[in-house]
Amino acid sequence: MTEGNGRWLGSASSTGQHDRNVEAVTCPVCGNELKSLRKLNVHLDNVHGFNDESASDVDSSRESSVIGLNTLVQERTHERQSKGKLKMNTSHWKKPVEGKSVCFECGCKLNARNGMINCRKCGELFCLRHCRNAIKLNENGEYDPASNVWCKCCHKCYINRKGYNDYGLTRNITQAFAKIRKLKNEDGELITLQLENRLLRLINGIIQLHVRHQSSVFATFRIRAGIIALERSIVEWKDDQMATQCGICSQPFGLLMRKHHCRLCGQIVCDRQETRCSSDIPVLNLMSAAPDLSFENVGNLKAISDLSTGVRICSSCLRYVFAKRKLQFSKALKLPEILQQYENLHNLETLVVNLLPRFQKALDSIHNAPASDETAIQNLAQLRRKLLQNLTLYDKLSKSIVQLDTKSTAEKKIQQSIALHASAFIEEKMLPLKKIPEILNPVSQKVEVTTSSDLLFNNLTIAEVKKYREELMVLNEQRYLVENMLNSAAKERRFEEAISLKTNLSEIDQNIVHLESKLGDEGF
Amino acid sequence: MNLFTVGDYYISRIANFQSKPSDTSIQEKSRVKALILDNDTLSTISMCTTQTELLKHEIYLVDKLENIHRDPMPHLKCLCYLKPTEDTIQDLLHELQDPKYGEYQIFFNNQVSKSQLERLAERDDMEVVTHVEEVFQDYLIVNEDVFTLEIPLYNLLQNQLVWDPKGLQETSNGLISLLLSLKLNPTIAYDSDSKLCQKLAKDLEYEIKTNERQLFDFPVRDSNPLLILLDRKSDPLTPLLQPWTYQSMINEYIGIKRNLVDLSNVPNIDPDLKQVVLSSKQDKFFKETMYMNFGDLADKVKNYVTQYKNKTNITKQINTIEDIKEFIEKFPEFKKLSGNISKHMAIVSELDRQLQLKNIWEVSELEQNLSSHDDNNDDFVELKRILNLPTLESYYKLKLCCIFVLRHGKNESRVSELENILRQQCDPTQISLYFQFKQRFGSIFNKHKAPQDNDLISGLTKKFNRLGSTSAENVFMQHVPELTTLLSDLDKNKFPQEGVTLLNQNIDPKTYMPQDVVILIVGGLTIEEARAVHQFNEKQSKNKDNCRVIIGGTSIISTEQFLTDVCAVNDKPVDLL
Repeated sequence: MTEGNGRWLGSASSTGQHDRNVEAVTCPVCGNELKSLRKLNVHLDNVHGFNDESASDVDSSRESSVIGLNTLVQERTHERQSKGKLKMNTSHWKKPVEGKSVCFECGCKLNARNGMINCRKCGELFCLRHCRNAIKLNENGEYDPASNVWCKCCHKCYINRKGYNDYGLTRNITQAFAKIRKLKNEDGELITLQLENRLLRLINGIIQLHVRHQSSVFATFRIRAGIIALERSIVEWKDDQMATQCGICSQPFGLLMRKHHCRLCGQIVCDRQETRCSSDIPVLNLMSAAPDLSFENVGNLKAISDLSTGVRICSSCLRYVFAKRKLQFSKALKLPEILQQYENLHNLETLVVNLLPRFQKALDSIHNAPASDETAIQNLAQLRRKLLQNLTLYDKLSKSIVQLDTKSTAEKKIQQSIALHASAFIEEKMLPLKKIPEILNPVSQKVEVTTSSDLLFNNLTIAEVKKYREELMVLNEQRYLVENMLNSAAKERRFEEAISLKTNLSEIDQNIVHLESKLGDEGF
Repeated sequence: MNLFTVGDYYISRIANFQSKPSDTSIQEKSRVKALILDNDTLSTISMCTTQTELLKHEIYLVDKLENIHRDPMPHLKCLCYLKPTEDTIQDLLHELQDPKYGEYQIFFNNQVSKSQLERLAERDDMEVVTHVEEVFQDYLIVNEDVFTLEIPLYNLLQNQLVWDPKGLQETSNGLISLLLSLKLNPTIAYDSDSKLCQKLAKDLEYEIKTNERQLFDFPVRDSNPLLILLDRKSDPLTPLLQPWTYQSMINEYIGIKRNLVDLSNVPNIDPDLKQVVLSSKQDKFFKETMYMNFGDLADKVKNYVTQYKNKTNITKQINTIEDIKEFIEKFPEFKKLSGNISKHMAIVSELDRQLQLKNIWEVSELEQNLSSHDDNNDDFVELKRILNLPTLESYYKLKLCCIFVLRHGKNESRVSELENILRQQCDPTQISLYFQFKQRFGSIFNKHKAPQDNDLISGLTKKFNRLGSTSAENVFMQHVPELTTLLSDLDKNKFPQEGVTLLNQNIDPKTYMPQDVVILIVGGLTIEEARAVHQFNEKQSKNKDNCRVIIGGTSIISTEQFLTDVCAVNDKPVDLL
């Protein structure tokens, strides 16, 4: 900043002169050193000049000529002068007090040497080093990109300009997507409805035929004849003669490629194993795959196993009717073992993460209060014990997850990832805990040394304590779950539920307190 | 304008987006998330995050969309982060036809066309997609202020003067996504001598002002951001010189791809170190040293090792239980530290080996002298001596001649003398490469360069204006990239005086004061230039000055790649259809 000093000085004293009376600034004439004649001139002009008519005008234009940003400024100054001078409102500027004002940024005492300048925007006082950014302001000292005037400002005002440090644009197009999806799939839904309707009629018809003829001697013949008639009545079959190739895979029919009619749409398709353009599906399977359709009760049938009739359906109809159901069905399946276990692991993790800040707070309070407070230390030790035990449990749980048998490569991958995550988590959370004994020791040397260092190695092996801790953990988990349920019940205004949940919760709480006190008695 | 911050923001956005709980059909839903990527986004992701960070977001399954053998996991929520290319959309259509996961949230790293969206919507008849969003990250982050679009020159241009339409589209898309991710609506300036850049500038302007006006609707800034498009052709010298800073040397001698350094070709390498990850985001030591020259780097590594030794010495005296405890506490730290040290040691020693093997010390000194001295006899004699060295790889001989032609091409007698030597030393393909290079750059550069060098005063001011003048004392780093002239103008809060033209004629370059600047070098960025920009940024932020710069290239190039690119594009068959 040495080279800039003189230049800046002019501005500082000019500001000063303008803001308050001259007597506060020691100007070069009054004995201050300036680096060049030109600067001296500038200074003389400003301080001892006859800027009587519009002090602020001259000042602000001078101001920019001293912005010191570059040579452009001069051109800008000319430009502005030709346009008419900017009248900047300076009422928000802090008034400097000689010997007392400090830089808002670095806190150094402001004097003629390191400069004394108002940020044009926030009005705080700065030394020259901390007020060197450029901003466009309007006459009220507000940020105005459309303004033509570059002003000096502090770094804080600089980076707080609207849009300055902005990033990360995203555009949500879900709505557009959903709209198109709705539009495009309306037809599909209609087709699905129609096919579902046909399926229902077909299957119900088959069941009725079975019920009607089940006691007859010629059951099989009658039922078959009935079904053939029924199938034709549901949908009109395409003409056999016209079809030369499969309607789905487009393979030409031949001796080995037999023609089949889909019983739902009437299309003629093949039934090759490779393409599965159509398949013969037993009625019972169809019924169980779409349990939400109102099929006739099969309870009237004597032997359900008699209902072995198959229905031929092409792959496209199958997709229309069953694909969505299949997805819902598989979603509703129970979670795979590994994912279930992970939920437990996660709950434990949140428990630890929630405990940690409390622990940190307790630790800090002990640090801050040098006098050793017995209860505080005990509190801390207890918290630490809790944390350590939870972490050990976490460790155990994660190990059991790692040992689970996986059914697919995806599960295997998830298992590996969980193992990685768990070990990282333990490493991260365990370390600060292990360090505590050292910190605790000097505070209460004789009381804690043995117990706290032993904690790590010995106490957790006591089987009983372990058992209690495990119980406690399960309870804590339950509590967490119940609390969530309670919250959601309250939100959805199901008050009866909420009441029973509340009693449940208080029971769990009681148990937790009980167990905790028990554990405390175990005296580790 | 820290690209890593932007990257982190996008990743946490993708990982943690909560769509409205509309789907009640899933009774049991797992917290575990799957992340599906394509080839492009896989690079993007791996350049700006790590597996550990993904695990923190509970993403426990990462796979590629094109892998059709993925197991169905209907309880998982699937996050798809994809680039909307035709192939990817096809794969996604297949996926939606037979969904393997219970719920899909799709994020595209650039804009999706209406027809693409329609096709997807039509296929999603099972309504598994709960969210579709465009984030804008169609570029790779190299360092916090360096990006690359990763388009090889061969795909970029049809010949040296004409864009490949696809390459132009890709470049423009990538740049637009970068601008959007930083929320910049820029004023565009381009390399005055380059028709390529002018074309790109016009295309971008059209996209920004008409097609994507809605997206670019950011609040007006007092100093409009500036986008500068530069052409590699205007400074062909920088990519020809052997680099001497850590990151660029790795790029030159070993190669770094997606933050992976492949050391498997190094003799006697530890099997654990065959492939190491090197990222300025995660590796503090690398962040500190990536722009250091080889000498400083060696010192730094030495310090690092002694520091490590001191720490291990303490733990060697394990006598009491307290010692053991302390050791156990610090063990993970040690492990990390020692892993990092051995990694850097392996890389540095490999670099050193390559330098010895290829005579780089000698070659580079001469290269630097040729490029920064005026034509003189000493250098020429040295050049002839080195060209006749039997041990030197012919590639470096070729390169030396290219540099000589660039700098002193007017001296025809010397040039022809060199060419005669070259004919004896190099094989025909290399000689043809040399002539292609000469034809391409020789004339332009002489014309452009001559008056500047003769003019003593402008030469002097240039010298003074240059940033980082300390490096000039180093014989191996005498050359300063052309880019620094531009940067020194920006340092003075000026729009660059020469070399670049503003697309919008209404803006007066004299009063325009750029503050946020994005630079793209069409034809490839060298890490030496990235370093110049980084130093500039550091200086600016240290002084709390006005200017911030981000630089990028259509690719990141090494010397060899630059030369082969030149010849590849020249040889490209003309597509008559």
